Amino acid sequence: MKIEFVVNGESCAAEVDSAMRLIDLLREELRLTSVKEGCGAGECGACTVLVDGEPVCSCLVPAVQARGRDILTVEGLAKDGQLSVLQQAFLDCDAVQCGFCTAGMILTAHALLMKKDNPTDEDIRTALAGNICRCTGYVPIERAVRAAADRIRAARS
Amino acid sequence: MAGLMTPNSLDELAACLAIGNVRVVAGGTDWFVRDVESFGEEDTLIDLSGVAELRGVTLQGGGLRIGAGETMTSLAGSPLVRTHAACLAEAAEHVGSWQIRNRATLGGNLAGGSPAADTPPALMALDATAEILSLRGTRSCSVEGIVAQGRAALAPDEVLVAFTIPLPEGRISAFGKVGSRKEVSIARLNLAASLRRSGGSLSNARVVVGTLGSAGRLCPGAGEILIGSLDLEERRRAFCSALVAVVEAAIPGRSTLPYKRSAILALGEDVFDALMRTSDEGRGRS
Repeated sequence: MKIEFVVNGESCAAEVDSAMRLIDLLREELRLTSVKEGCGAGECGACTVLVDGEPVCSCLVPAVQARGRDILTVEGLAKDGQLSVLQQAFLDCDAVQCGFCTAGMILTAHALLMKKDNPTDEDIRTALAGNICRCTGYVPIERAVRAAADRIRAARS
Repeated sequence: MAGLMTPNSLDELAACLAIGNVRVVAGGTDWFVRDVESFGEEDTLIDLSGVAELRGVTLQGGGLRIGAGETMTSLAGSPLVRTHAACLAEAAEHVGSWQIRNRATLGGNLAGGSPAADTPPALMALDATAEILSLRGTRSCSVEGIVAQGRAALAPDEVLVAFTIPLPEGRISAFGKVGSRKEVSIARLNLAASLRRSGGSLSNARVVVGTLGSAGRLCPGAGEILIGSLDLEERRRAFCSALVAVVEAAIPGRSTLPYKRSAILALGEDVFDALMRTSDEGRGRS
């Protein structure tokens, strides 16, 4: 079945079947390899992408459900070679070690900041509860999200 | 090669069901992890995510009607659900992670048949009825009846369309859950309870414990105590004792019994206190 959808602002079309997952569509068909497969069971959040602005585990979503949707991966965050505020904050706060969880972590945090520009620490922790990191111990990640929120608000005022 | 269909309405869905050997997928959170193994080359997968009639939360004819395709995120954030079915909103709010809540549907949580599912006990406590579509027409069944039959309750070509929750005046409800961690936790035990308050009196209690071998077990004894005449402290103790008795009767000899016997005490207190806070009953009697 041919479906049409938007990925990182660009219209796309692809052939999908019942066995194809969204992560397969993004990685294998569209070569968006920022999307990582960790557990393949919706536990680790490494495969997180945004569908219509909401974080989902792309390893669980049937590819056909991308039909008519707007999908965002990390490849869609940087503009004109310039990292997003959140991506830069991850670098500045040493929130990246092996990097495998980073794309999913950033997308979940991006979705949070689109909804709440001044999240509480509890908001950040609850939002990121479905993204597992085995390196950082989470503290630098939480700090990076907080820093990004502060920078975005400061830039606006 | 297996087929794939994407109906956009209930009428189109009915036409898809007619082709036979079909399986349906809504949020998909169980599909690739568990259900896809039993999906054959001759089968056809029907994606329910485009069926508009499976969505929506509305007040209708004295009840709250919730589309079976509503997600945990939408239930937790719905002012109507929070106001009229608080225990359901609370249950939905703590299912899995944000990513899972964005996809997992109310219908799927029941149809999946997991004994550790969080929303079926809440639906049972609220005395919800399910509307089920198949080629044989539409039938209604209480959520209590569906839970009692387990995964056999729904035929492969039956689709949960919506749930209707009656809204008696003055009803309040609460939900609690014990898992192995604070977030992204599968319930070891969950508990939903509802009752009606009218003036100073309480009535119509429905208390449901989940994750005891089935997704929901109605506890009439605990319900009677909840609305009984004991003073607040005695009532809390008796309520929790009744729940312990339910656990002991449900899973005798299981390795998890000692843990669950202890955990239900704390869970019982939490839910009891939440109900009494809401009902003003606590202030009146303590």
